Amino acid sequence: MYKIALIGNRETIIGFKLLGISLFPITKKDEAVEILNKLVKEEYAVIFVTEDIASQIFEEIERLQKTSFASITIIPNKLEKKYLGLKILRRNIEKAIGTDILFRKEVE
Amino acid sequence: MLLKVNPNRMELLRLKKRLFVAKRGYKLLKDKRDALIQVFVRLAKESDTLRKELEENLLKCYAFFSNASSLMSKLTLEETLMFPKAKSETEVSFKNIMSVNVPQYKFKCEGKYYSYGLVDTAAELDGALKKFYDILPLMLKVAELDKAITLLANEIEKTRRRVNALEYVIIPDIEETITFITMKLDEVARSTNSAIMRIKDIIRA
Repeated sequence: MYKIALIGNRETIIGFKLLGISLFPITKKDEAVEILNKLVKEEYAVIFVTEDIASQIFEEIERLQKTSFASITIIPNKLEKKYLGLKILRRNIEKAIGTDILFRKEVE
Repeated sequence: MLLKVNPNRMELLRLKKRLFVAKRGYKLLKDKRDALIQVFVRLAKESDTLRKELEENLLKCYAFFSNASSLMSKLTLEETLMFPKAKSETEVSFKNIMSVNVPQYKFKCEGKYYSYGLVDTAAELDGALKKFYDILPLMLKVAELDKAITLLANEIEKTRRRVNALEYVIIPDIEETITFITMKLDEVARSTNSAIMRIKDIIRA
């Protein structure tokens, strides 16, 4: 059995607390990188990162997603939508096929 | 570009074997690439719709929870959330898609998540928690697809590079070298032949 982790700002992720998911409330970028690197070495299979944090450590997430066992997934923030998860998806599609097949308008 | 080999029969045989293997590998890898892309496109489309769904639902969840928390004092909320009884975990199994090991997650929650007193908590909190609980499988599904797509994209890139290398570099090189060796051997044969003819003439004269 593997654990599930959630990294993000406190207000967004606090609701998941009672479900018994490991929460890592953070605010600063450096903390996020540190925690993320620590988590991928432990028994976490899935790590969710909220968008506001993820946008700051974008490269780190992409790198770890490629190399580590854990799946790092971006979930939306409480207040604003940035479509960062979609952006990663599109980049992967472009890398694999050479062109974007989704054509969603709201993402620029 | 010519390979650096000695033009003799040994090399010719060796190269012919290599060409055969290269052609077979090329065909196999091309099939693999096509199959991977097929799977990839399907997964990408699925991921796109699921992510849309997840984003909408998750925003709703947040709204529910803020609603619930606004009905309670900050202190009680903190108290309520302090000791979770439930434990959420995931089971990981692997699925093999064209020799890419893709993880699959199965959500498991042990214990009750309603681990608080009913007296000073708002009823909306129950609803909000239920919503969070219900959305977790979807979140895991999206995580699974994300990982699968990253892994497949890398594999496709790698396979495509191999296919291209075989198609445009290795196979033409080997073919060119094989023609070169054949020509050279023919040339040697001709020159020996003419030499023998000349010697024959000299002896007869």
